[in-house]
Amino acid sequence: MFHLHAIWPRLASFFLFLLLWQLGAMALESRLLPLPEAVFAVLRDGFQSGEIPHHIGITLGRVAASFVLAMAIGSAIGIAMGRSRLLDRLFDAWLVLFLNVPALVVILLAYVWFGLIEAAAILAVAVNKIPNVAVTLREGSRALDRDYLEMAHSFRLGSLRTFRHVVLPQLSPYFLASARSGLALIWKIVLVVELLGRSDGVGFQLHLYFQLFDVASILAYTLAFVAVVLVIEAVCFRPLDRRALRWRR
Amino acid sequence: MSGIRVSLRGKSFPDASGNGTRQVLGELGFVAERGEFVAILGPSGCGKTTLLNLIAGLDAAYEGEIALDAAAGNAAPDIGYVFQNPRLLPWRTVFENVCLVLNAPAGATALVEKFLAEAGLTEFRDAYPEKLSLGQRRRVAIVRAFAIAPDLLLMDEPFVSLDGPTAERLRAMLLEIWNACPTTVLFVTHDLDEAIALADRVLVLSESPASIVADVPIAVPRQERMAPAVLEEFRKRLRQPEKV
Repeated sequence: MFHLHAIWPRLASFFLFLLLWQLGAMALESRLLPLPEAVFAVLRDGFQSGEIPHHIGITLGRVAASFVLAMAIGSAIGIAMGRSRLLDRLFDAWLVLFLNVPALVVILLAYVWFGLIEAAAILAVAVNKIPNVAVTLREGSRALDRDYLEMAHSFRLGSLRTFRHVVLPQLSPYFLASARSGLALIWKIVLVVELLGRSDGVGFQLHLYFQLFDVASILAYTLAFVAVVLVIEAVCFRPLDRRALRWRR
Repeated sequence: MSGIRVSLRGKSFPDASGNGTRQVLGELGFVAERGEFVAILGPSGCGKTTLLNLIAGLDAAYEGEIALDAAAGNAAPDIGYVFQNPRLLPWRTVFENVCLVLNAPAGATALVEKFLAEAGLTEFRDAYPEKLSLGQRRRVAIVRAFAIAPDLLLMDEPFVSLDGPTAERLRAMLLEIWNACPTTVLFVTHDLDEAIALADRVLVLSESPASIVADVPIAVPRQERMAPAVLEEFRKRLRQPEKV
């Protein structure tokens, strides 16, 4: 999977980034842009004390819960709207409305209406993502090939087998696309939700260090969390991609 | 196995402009007996595929009646359909494509293996359809249609756009499987010689709106039909109505 000739440009780009950071920090000599080694020291301490893994774990839990919720509800809405012209006409305007409500408004209203509780936080994140999933899956189910559906109908496959063998494989690129963009969007919104109304998680910690003007800690949390998201991308999405496309020439 | 009685009064589609209708099928009636191989011959665009889709139940908006007599103990007759484009699911292997349509997949896989072997497809059992040639995909589509032991088999120009020898081999394979697993067949084609070679009886359709202009039984054993004199005789009889 990791061949040397494929990985060296990535390594080179990583070290170039570090070098630029180092040079910039040395030139500025400011507390507001710490040296890479200072950030790595904070990272090391944070992992040794267990503080960083604890908060990343909590944030990941929220990301996972709202991701699953948003994908399930968004897909159901999108597929239904893609298959039924009536539903599409009825709710198209709602979809546009929800697509354009700012994430911050949804979060504030969720906390105001339901209180500063875990469920409100997760719901707020999911509601932000649901319209995107719905729009993508609606596109996907509009593009379903009629030839295969007719085949399924004339051989009387029934709705369950038709869905599993004829519909789902055609939707899988759309699922993957919205899952990918979903993960990127959701973890950023989760941080905001934590900043505004939770007392743990990466977003809460970032807020704390912001108030202390502790840039080294802010960068340490950011790096750690981005690294986790990259790992998720590599171990979950790439293999799924390959699996979904293995039948192509 | 199931016979079929078709008595259509007409079938129209909305036309391209959207405010009128275009009649594709006119008054059209025929009966196919159980186990009969009926070829439906007609010029392209005359509504042959539409007719098969009505029979397959893909389109219920027509005037008239289509009745299949269900085989004993079988509530709704099973229909096998070989489409013009093979319509194999590209994300399933050859074997999975065939097994997918079976009603009781558990016990019937051995039969699928046997069919695939007879069609010369054993080595492609686990291949995805995109790896196969058109002729091979058509063979898979035929195996899939026979695998459900259909009461009625619909075939829509299943050998069109194949080269001559390949089409010839596939016709031979079709007759072989059909002899082993007899069923009622409606075989749509625009190829006169193909209809003569395969069918017990040929129905000739007119230009759209289609109706039946000739009903010609081919009462000669199949192996004798390719004799030039016999072939010429039937060609003449099948071409005749088109001139009228």
